[in-house]
Amino acid sequence: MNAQYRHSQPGYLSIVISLILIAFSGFIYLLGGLAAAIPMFLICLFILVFSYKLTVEIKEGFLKFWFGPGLFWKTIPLEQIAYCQPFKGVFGGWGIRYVFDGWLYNVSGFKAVTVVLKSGKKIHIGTDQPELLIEAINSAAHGAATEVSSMWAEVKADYLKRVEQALSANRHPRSFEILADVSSHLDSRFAELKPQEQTWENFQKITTEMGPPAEYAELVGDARSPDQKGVSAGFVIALIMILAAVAAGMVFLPKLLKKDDSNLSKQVIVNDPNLIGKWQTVDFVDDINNYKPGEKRWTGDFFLKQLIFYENGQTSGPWLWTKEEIIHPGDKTAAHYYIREMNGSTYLFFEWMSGDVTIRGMKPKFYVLQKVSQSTNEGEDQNANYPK
Amino acid sequence: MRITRNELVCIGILIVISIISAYFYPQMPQRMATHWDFWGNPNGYMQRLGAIILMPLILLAFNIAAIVVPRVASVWANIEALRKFFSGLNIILSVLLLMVQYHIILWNIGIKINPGFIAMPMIVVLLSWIIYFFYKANRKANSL
Repeated sequence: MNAQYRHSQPGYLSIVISLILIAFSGFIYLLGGLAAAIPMFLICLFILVFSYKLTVEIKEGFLKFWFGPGLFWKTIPLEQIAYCQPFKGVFGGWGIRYVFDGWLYNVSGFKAVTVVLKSGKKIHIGTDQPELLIEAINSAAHGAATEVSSMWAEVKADYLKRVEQALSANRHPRSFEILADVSSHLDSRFAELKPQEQTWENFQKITTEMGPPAEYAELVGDARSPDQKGVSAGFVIALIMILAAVAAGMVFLPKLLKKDDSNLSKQVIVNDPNLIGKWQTVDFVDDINNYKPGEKRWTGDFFLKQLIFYENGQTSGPWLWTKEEIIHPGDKTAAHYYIREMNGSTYLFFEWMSGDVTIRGMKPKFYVLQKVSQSTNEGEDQNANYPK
Repeated sequence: MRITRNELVCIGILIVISIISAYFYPQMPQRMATHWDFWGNPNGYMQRLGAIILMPLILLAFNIAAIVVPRVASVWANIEALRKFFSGLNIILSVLLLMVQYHIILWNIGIKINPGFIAMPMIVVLLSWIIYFFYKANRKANSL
């Protein structure tokens, strides 16, 4: 037996949000690994399958509705239905929830019909064609209605369907209210007819006098603002091109902005005879002026224990040097150094370019090294682990 | 229900911010500077994963709210001015968050740009737009 009424309302928003979240789970996978991404992916997939559409069907004496491919369904015998009316009130969200006086089943939009059972219980079913669903439920529930009532219901439903189609062409924000007004006006015209006037011809006359359905769409005009209008293929292509250009620019801009550090290792060595030799670390200070020979301020171990500066611009560590600068090609940093004579000894103040300086922008501190030998080839390098 | 142009732009910005965050993630230090004082000195830090994912998550929440709220709150949806307000607000906030995220990335790979240069123009645009919107709404209300 064919269904008396069957309509599926797509949950476009659920589909879009689920797809965005599924795409985002890919992002989570990149950052947090598979274990973090899989639960999110599965939840989103379930939401997508569950809520991509809501189907309502009237068939063989039952009103039945279900989500998605039929993961959740509910069946109401038509004989239990007292009447059906538009949902009055405001609700928000989608899914299955209790609102005001009954359960709401909805996947999209904020239109619904209220099915009132003879027991007084109410069930709210979301739909994008409330007028047609109300007509169908009421007609099916009151199967004993007179032939005239059925005929009128058929004519009215047909007219309302055509009005709805005309309005949906420009998606007027108040199309639901306009349809309700037209329905109410049709009912009042029907009520004006005397019983002997309730004929097919007069019903057709009423719809003719109500005017062509397309006129309602013309009357309300295109009330949408530009951003509500449909998204054309040209707009989408232009948007993708612009966003791709922005993303590419953002990826390549740092490469242009960063100074070419390869020159650091290629620059000409300017000799500084005072620097060449073996230096032993004696302190680590905030400022050069804070160091006093013989007074060690740093209480912990030194990361850098000693350093040898060779004549060819090389050092015993990962650094290179030229006059006034000590360069770390790996970290791409160039630190200043200062040599001071104090109490008959020579001290080197070496700016320490740690993460506090290079990342957090803090003022550099100084390693203080004392010159222990002018020679560069005596003794062993005590540093086991230089920063690479 | 259809996705509008403004919503599509915001979703596009969300995709861009996600792509650049994923691209630069391996280059980020373990502890990232994420907040700066008035003079542009960093004074707030976060772990790498949290810092890189924060802005995309905020933008995702904004996008969901901006798409859902006008469709759920039927009272608001029927007030065209409010719908336009939130639509425009979401685009400006999306661009602002994209710029903030990019600034965080640049700083942490060693390109130190004063955050004021990035954030201030966008904040000026945001405030100007809000003031203009309410000025227009007030004129309409007075003319009624």
